[in-house]
Amino acid sequence: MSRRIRMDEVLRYLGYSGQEMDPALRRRMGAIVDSCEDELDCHGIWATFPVRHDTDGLGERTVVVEGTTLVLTGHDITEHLSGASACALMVSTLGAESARRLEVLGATDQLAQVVYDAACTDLIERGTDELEAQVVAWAHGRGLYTSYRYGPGYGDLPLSVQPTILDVLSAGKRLGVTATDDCLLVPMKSETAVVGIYPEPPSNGKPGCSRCACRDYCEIHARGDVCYRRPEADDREGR
Amino acid sequence: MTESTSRPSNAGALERALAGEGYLLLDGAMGTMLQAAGMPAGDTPELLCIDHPDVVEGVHRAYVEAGSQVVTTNTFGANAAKLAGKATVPAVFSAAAACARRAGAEYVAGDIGPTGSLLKPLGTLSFDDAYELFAEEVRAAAAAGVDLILIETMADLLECKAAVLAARENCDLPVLATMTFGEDGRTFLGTTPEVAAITLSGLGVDALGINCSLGPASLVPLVRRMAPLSRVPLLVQANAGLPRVEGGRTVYDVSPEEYVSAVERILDAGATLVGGCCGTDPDYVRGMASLLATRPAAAFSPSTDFAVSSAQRSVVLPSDGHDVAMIGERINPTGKRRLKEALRSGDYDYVVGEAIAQQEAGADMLDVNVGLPELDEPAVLSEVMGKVSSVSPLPLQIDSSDVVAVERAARTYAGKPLVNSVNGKAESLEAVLPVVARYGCAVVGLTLDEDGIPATADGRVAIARRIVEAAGAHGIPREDVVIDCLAMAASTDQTQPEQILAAIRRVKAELGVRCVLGVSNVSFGLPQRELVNAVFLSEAFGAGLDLAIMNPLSRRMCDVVATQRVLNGQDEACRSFIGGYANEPSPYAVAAGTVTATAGAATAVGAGPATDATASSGDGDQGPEARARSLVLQGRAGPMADVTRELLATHDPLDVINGCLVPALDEVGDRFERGEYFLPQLMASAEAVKAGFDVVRAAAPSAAADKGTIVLATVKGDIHDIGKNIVRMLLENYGYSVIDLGRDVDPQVVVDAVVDNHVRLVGLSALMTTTVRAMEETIALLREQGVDCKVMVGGAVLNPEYAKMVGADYYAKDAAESARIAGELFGE
Repeated sequence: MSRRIRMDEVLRYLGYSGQEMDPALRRRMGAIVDSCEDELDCHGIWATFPVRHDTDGLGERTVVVEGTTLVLTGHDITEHLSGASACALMVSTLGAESARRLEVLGATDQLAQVVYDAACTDLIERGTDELEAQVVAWAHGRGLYTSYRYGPGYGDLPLSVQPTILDVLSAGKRLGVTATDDCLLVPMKSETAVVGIYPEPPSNGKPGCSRCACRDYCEIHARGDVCYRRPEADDREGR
Repeated sequence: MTESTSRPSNAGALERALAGEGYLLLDGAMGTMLQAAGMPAGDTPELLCIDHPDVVEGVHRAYVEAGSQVVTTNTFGANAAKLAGKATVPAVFSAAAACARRAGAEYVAGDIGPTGSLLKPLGTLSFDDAYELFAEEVRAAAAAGVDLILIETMADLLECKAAVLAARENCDLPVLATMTFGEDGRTFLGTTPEVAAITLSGLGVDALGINCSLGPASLVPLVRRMAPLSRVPLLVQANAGLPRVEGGRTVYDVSPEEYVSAVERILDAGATLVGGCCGTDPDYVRGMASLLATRPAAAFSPSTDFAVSSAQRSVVLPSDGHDVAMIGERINPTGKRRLKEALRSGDYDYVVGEAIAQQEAGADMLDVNVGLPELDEPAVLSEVMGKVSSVSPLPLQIDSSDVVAVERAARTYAGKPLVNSVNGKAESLEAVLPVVARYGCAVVGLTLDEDGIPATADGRVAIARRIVEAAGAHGIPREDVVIDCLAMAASTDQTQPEQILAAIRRVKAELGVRCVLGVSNVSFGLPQRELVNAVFLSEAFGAGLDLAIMNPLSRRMCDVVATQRVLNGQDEACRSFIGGYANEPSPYAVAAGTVTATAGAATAVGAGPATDATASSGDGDQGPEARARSLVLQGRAGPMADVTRELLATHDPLDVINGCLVPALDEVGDRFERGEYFLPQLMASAEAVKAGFDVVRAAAPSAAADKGTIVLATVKGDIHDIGKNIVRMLLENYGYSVIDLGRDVDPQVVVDAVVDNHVRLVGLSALMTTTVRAMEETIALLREQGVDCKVMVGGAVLNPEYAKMVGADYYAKDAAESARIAGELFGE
């Protein structure tokens, strides 16, 4: 299987902007990234729920995730989900082994720890991209559309929704992901996200495949199809 | 509602099952049934016991009618943290037990699931806080009149241990404990079925096993792995397959018929208590009830193997074999100046380095001894064991003569440790054995007593016998006792080696326990000690020695162990031996001068900086000053030691530091500031400077005396400490002495460290907006208690304004900036 972690992304996380570097350092970083790829894997779960658009007691817009106790508040996420009929909740993690590896390196080789940490960051992004591609394919198969995944901590979607997302998906039981009192995820290399699912192509949907994070994992793209426009529009273009 | 309390047909079913003499049928899922009844996901299902007791009772009743002998209260997450004030723990347990009783349950199990938070060091929950959460649940369950405690779905062995201890110490009810495993056969935190069986058996649960996890068929091999190591009956409650999302709903694929057919294989594998978990319903229980009715009576035989474990790995010496294991002895300050310093200054990274080195050299277990008179041994021993456990999967041996230290370490150790040691003195037996029994440890018994070490095998065997009997009287089985017949110096008494070997042979034959020995004493006072040790070790193996306490970094000793494992059949098909030795030169060829040892290229991760020991060509005609500068700028640590030695030949040590190393590092900092270097280059340069510093420090300790002490901490609630680690690395390489308090640090701990060490500069890091609050609190506490020090802060969400707002004196946007701040403050 091809390497998932992208060296250029790892370098970007580390602040690389074309500096000239010793080839030995480049090799050393490459070996660290390889070991991350070999030692860790990203596991994730997701489920979809209908959503209801509502307003709270203060007249602020909310999105109620039906069949769960989750209510999303704040301008950015309600705007993001505007027009959505459902959403997917996702949790992904590199597991406790990622924390253990980082701990060992922290005690023995700080440079390796920093590089490994950046490699983990890209690995979890890639794993979550793959998970998102599953959601996109699921929606596409039902004639629905998706927007980009949106994570707590972005915009004004607070981190405090994380424990509820974990509970709704039983992420503690199924993935071993928990949240601290300050709503930080443990293991640290874990991620939660919301993907909007829409009956019509949303304005904040995917503009095309070339810059789509899911592309490498997308079964729709793999068979030459696209997820972001109506089939009939496609036909019209064809004519 | 009718009360149904008649139980004549099944009287004693629980007791029989826990004695390994009968089957017991538990119930199936609660959450699945409640969600089917319309409960929203993410809700607190435990509150239904109070708000809709009829619904909960209905689920219980359906299971009772299907044949469940034990029903489990709807209290999985009924701990104070998860209930978050919505109801009290006693109220939920009382209502939950009443629901189960009213449903006519034969036995009611008080259900206890995980706290929902991860314990330190991965998470922020302390062992003691976890224990308190569980203890409250146990007391509430007992007060509600349950018949047993069921601790389930545990992924963290230490959390499970906290729950078991809470149950054992807060009620007299039987305790059952199960853990949940993934497709890789481990829990999310890496615990294997073997480790779970060993540790939970030791802790004295009445039954142990597996729940949740996977479908029942996938659990069969895990049950097979658990059965030979368990000392109590096995309980298995599988899911109805792996959960799968279909149309946005969680579904389980295994039908009741398939489930029951797999349960039959689970019973064949050794389980005698069964039930269901997620996705199962009364149909599954009905099927299991019919199955059990037709099975021949259960038979259970407890394990008699010697076994110890960490949270991830076990060392098992089967009772019918001759396997040997190696215990690394290097974490022991006796005669080790550098380790003494590290322990005194709290430099646990050095200790951790020793652990990793021994692990990589092939140690099976690690001895941990921190016995220095000036240390608070109970605190330091626990802390060091925690640090070592967080980086090494090897089981640990608690080595201390301080019983308080042993108890504290044994209580909070994630696994089953070996306690080193008890001896034949009445006082020692009375103090140590109860601790060993309470925490389910194995124990080393030293053959010495009030009269010292007997000179003869007879005397040693007699003491060993007393120890084994005393252990038995405390309920410690023979397989948990390991006798150390105590090696003495051959140079002072040449009759000793033979007496020791004879004692080992007799202890094994007459007492049926295993033997351990620290062999290196035998060579005391002789030249070529490793040679003597190695020969004595192989003789001891011949006499029946099971566990060798030794230096795993001694190649010669490891050769003996590797060879022994070929001769005793432990190294199957000689695979390890051939793999390790087939292409090795003979060690004696070295002596003859035909082969030179080659240092392996450091390509492995964590192997540290590249170690090419030659400066690049073209540097040769430069002076050492220019070469040192160039190596630092290139971030090449390998040749730095040699160049620094050259510098020391012509320069004052202080001048090497302040005239060469620090200016070069300053230049790197400037380049980093201008964006000409990026982070790994800055760090590689810091490594190069460190290599130089180490040489100066070795040559002239006073010259390298620290330039000032700085306290660093990642604030309370925050576990993202990588930025702080980078700052520490750079500051240390500028010659500052850094007290690194780690992550998730309580504000008072920061204040205490600053006050105790008269520190003038504190660095605090926080990565998340949610934890910057704790940064503000820490600074406020420093000011409030009138501590005279400056505070610099850093972290992804901070900026100069925010830093000012939380009350900091400086904002350090990166590690290089923190070094500049330190330089300014300490007056360079």
